Amino acid sequence: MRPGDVLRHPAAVLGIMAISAAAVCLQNIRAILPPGAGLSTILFPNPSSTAELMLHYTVLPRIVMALMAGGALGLSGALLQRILKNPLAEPATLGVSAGAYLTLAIAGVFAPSILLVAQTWIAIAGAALALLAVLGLSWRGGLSPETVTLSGLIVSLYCGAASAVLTLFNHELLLGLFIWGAGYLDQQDWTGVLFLAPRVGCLAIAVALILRPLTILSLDDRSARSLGLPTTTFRVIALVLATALTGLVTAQVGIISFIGLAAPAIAGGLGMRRTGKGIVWASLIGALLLLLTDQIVLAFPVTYRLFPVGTITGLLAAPLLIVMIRRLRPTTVPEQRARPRLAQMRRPALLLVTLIVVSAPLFWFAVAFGRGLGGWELSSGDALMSLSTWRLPRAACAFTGGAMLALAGAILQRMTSNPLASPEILGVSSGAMVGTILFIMTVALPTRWGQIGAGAAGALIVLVAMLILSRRPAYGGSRLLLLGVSLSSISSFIIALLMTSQDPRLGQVLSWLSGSTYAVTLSDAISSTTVLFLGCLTIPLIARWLELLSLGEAAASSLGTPLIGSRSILFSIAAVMTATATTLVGPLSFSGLMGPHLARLVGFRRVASHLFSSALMGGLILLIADWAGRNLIFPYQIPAGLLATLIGGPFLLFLIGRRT
Amino acid sequence: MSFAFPSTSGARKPPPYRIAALDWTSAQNLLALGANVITLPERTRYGERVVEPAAPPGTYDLGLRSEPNLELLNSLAPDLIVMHPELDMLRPVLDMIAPSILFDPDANDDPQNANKLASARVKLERLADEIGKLDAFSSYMNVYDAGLSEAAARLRSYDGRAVYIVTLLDTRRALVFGRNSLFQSLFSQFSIENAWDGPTSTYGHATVTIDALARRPDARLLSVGRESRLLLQAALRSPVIASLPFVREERAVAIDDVLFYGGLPSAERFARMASFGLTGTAAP
Repeated sequence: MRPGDVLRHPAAVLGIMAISAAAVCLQNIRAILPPGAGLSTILFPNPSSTAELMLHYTVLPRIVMALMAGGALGLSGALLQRILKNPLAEPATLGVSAGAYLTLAIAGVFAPSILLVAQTWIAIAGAALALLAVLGLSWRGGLSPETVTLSGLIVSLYCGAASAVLTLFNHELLLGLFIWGAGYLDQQDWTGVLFLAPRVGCLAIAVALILRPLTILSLDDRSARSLGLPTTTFRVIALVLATALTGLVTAQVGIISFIGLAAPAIAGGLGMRRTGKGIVWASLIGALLLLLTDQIVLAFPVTYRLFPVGTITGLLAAPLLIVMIRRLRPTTVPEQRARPRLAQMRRPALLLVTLIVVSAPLFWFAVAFGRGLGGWELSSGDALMSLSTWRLPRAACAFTGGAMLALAGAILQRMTSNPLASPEILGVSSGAMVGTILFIMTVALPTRWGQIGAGAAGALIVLVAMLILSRRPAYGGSRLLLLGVSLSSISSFIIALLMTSQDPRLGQVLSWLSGSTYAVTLSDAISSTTVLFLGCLTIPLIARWLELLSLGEAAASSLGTPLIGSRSILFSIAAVMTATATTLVGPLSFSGLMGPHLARLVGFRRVASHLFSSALMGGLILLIADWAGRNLIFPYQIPAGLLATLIGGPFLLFLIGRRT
Repeated sequence: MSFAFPSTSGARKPPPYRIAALDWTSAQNLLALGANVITLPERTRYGERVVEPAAPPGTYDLGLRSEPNLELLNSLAPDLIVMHPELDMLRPVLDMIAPSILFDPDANDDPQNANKLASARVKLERLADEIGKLDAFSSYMNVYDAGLSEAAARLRSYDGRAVYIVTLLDTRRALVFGRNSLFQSLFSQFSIENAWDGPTSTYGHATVTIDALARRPDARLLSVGRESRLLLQAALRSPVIASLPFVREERAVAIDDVLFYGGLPSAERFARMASFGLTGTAAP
């Protein structure tokens, strides 16, 4: 046996995790333990010794809480992934955590007294509602992994945007929620543990009871039904159990991402694929992963802020995932299936022209009509000229930003034949964001062109990394998405670290992160229009490549497409578009996903017309969002990126639900 | 951050001015000088969080503090804009509306001098000079000095224990104010020891889990803010905190909201409320 083989043995991996977690725990306990006191004082503290009380009431429950929460999240993730036959399913990707967060935020703003007594139930209700929405939308499609993941991500984004709006206008009221949401495991007594333990215990026993039917269910539906198993009933039971587990844990410790995704993936990577074993190992790995991460966080040097473990789980789990993704069985998820063909439009060119003709008055309307000191007004002449100073750059940047993201999204969706591919979800936006922030932080006078350049470099690095990592065997849809989500989590960690520096220049960055066009100037509008125009010029050139690449590599190559060359150029265009848009409207906007889908649903199928119409749709989404954001609650303003998610989310969900 | 004064941009007409305040600190200090403030951001919340001096009834709400509404600001046509340096990036756009000046009582021109009150006083005087209200400055300083000496007189009966100044965020975590904070400067002036000597941010606060307050069992606890007051009893019941003498002997008091970076008007409000709270006397 080579040393490498030892590492592949499941027990060895678990053992190493357990030993390192125990070592860090011991180190942290030693740091507080008064000299001369034995370890037994942890269990039986001297009531007059504050240090011993601290060990008993803060350090020890924190350890137990980490094990329990991690185990429950691992278990819940493993269940969800098996039921939905979807390796991407976990509380975060199904919108469950975000749903819990949103209901708590609503309660915090409108009924804070209820929040004090019924926090757990409110969180569970939110989690259940989110899952119901996701499943309801994908029920008719037989819960196909593709639809479930798409709906889940959109519900997540939607709840996240809604919570962000509430936070924006009620910052002081929601400070506590803000901290809760970041995911902290610190405890002040045993009540959290005592509340969670029996409930998680009961749910775990319930899972054990349905393990046999679950195993049969995981084979395939037909053989399960032939064995007389009511498949739908068991699926629903398992889903309810998984939601209850997540809701309970989320209510107690906040949003801890990635454990539910990473633990089952690691268990699977270690060869624990059979249902029973897989679920048990996922729980164990989840428990140890969270404990280890949290104890490392606890050992961090003390500064003026608490570091959330929720941020770090993402960082630690991401590299593990990238390694483990290699060993995942190739799945069909969420590869494009043969769908009933939507009606192919007879005259795409005519409709495209109509769309463009409609856009122009819409744009004029967005600038001319709005609220001011005297209420709603449609301005013209000199008044319009004067208002244009404030409104024109914002409307132009919103439109061009949305259009560029949607164009990038359409290119990525075409290239990867993956309907979920978009700059936001593949981590390309995060790459652009990190590049831009680093540039702002290191350069004395950051120009807009410099920011775009730095952002493009960041976006391109992410795209190239994805290209290299997912090279073999081909672009498996789920692999690419897993990689994208992992990369996003790494970049969000870097951003969290930068934010702790409290550099005053970051204030500007923060409002930009919420997708606001507040700070854009006329010269920004001119440069972004130029970039969009250049991007649209390339469409006729790249359309043929995209059409041929969709036939498969071999076919494309035999028809004379330079594989590496065409890919590099396509990726570069997507990167430049994403970076330019991200510097203007922030990374949140979601039009990169929505634009191409809307264009397809309207009926644009051919590559060139689809790319054009995607850009137009994406642009219109953000244009409308920016207009509404400026006027709805005048003089207060809602960032366009957030509002686009709020308006567009339900619409897109409705369309997805109807399609399947 | 330090700035070379005068930081005015653009040509200005002579006072009196119709002034737009783009942030709460500027609004609070301008109102203390009796200036004609025509607009300020998040006006309702200003009344709840900053409280005094109150904004006059006709004052326009300018929208969110992070994004004051420029269109509205333009149509109000102020003579002068006063804002925190954090919003300095708006300067090129604001120049199209009216001349603007930066105001930050927290900024320290002299790094040797850690006293926030002294620098806040200098900044307020400069602001008064800029808006042509130096006489209003001296009459405000009389009010301020009187307020502080009354507080000092009240605190003469104080038992001298060190104090933790906290704002509870939930039942387990709190903001604690220490070095570099406005409250600390005030306490130094009253010779009251701040029980928190740990690391703090540029604004002088730190986020801690409440067990961190166990380091000084002899201390007293002063909670600032209305939400914090609601959370206080629950937080005090946690075993580690409950074991501390300051809880057993009920040495915890709560006062209403004070803007912790608001310069002299905030300091005067804090001194008044804290001196009543710590000496167990009721405000008139």
